[in-house]
Amino acid sequence: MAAFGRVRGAIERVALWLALAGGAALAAIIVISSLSIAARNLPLLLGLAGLELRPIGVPGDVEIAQLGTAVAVFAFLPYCQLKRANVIVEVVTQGLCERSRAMLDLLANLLFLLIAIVLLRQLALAFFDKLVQGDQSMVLRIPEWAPFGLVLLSLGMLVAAIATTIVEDGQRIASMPPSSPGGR
Amino acid sequence: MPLPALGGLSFVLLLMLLAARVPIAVALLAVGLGGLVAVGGIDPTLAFVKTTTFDVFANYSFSVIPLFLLMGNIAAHSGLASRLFQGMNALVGHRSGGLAMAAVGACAAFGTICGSSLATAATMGRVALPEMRRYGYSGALSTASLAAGGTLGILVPPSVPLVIYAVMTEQNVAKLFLAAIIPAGLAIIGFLIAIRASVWLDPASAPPQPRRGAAERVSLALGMWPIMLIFLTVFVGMNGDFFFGRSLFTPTEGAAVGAFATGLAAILLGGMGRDGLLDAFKSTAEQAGMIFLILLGAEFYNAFLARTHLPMLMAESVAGLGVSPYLIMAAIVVVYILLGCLMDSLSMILLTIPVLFPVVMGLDFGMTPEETAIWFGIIALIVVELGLIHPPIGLNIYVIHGLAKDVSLWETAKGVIPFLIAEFVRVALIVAFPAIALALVR
Repeated sequence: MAAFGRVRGAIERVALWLALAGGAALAAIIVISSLSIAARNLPLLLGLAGLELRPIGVPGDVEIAQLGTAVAVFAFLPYCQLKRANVIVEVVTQGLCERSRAMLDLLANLLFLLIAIVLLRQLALAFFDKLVQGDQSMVLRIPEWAPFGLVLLSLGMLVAAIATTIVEDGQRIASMPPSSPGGR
Repeated sequence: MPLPALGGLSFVLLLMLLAARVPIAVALLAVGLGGLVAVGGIDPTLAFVKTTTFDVFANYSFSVIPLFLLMGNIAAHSGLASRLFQGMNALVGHRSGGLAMAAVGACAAFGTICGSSLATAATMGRVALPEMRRYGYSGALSTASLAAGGTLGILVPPSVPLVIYAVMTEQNVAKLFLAAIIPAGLAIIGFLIAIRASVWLDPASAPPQPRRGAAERVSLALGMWPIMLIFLTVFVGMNGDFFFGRSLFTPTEGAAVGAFATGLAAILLGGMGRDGLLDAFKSTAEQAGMIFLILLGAEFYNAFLARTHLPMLMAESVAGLGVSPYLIMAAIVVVYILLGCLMDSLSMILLTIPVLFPVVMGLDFGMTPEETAIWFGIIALIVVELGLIHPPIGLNIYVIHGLAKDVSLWETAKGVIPFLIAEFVRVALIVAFPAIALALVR
């Protein structure tokens, strides 16, 4: 299982870097939007003081916020899965033993894996469509395939992250005898 | 099988998956995709996934969410929370039950820069619990006031559930935030009364603390200025048309400005360093990833539900009942409180709004549609937030319990009762007098 440990370590590192890069992207959006708003509303404030100035702003600030948050949040998904941050209703299964709960988690993660693969496939198709069409965003002329490419990277990592959690679940089950204490 | 029945069946299936520990997002995605395939076939469903997935994440109205989350997390990982508690304590600490009141006040103040109840409860809990225990406050009162105070995180703008409600029902987020102000004030008053009542019932639960000098109190209270300034900037700018006839920025931009200012305050005044910032990024990644996956699942599920015509049919049949609309609203509140035993607030909003919103809009409350929508949004927000502090899965109670292991869950649950009563009174007031929510919006 040493090989799995190394692979998992690598997946965890990449997921963490993706998440931090997403956070940095959000921080950049925050700074750009703030500057743009300040620049846009400064004339209004100066106008109140009797000065004339033409409103200016960072062009495409809305586009940056929109595409930037989308790419950033996709980048959060693998980290979120590895941290098992997705909300679970615990109340019904509280009485089950640890092993049964691990089995349910494994099934849920298999379902998630299937869905994530469907998402990855469909967004890959969308990416190739955009690549062929060559459309660009309205203001900044960002090619539309570019954000999709980054999203594909994140979704690929999400699939890897889910697979990692599935192996973890399997190890948890294997490490516990079928009639572990704490069961019924 | 007739389509509406399929819609009903899907809801049962969804609840079963949730009960079997499937994460809410995954359950929504699975049932939504399965339902879409059942109704429309595989190829249209795959085409829908191809175009919709990115659009949900790139929805400009949703982009406010990660920004508000980051703002709250920066505030949580800086010294700002303790500044707020010290300031509030300087204002009310000398009164009976004063520390608990300061905790509630600090939660409300923290709620002005944080859109999440759990984060508010956890952050203020870390700051205020040790103080309350140090002065001999009972476990029940100190944990319950923080669990209840934490709910102010989503009630006081900004509020992530309100953003989601606004997007789902095509309402103006800034107006919803404005409408939440008076109900939030009522909540604070209710919680303060609940604290007074708890102390009156059990005087030993809150020993008095020594009174500080006036100069020290004033300087501590003034220490809260950065947070107040940030809130006022964001709030006034977003509701610019209310204050001076012209909106200064969109909610997303408001969140950006707020996060920028919070970051500056955290670094300059709160002593936040590189590690704090990285921790804020990590928490944001977990929360935003979780929320957007749920949003995507809800998008799929609701697309399917709309095709079954179930929401429309429900709305028509409820409107045709000929029962008083207010009675139906009361029934909806009861349904929410029951659902709150099973689900977290976000999932409740996402699952119920597509079905209940048309129902409510189909009733005649003697208000304009916009007013009805805003009023219902505030009611829904308050009742889902109630689920955070009532058994069996009051998440806030668990968060605070994690910080105060020596206090049993049972003790906290008992301590929460006066706060719950205050909340029930408030819900009844807002249902009976919509003007409480609408006064500022009209």
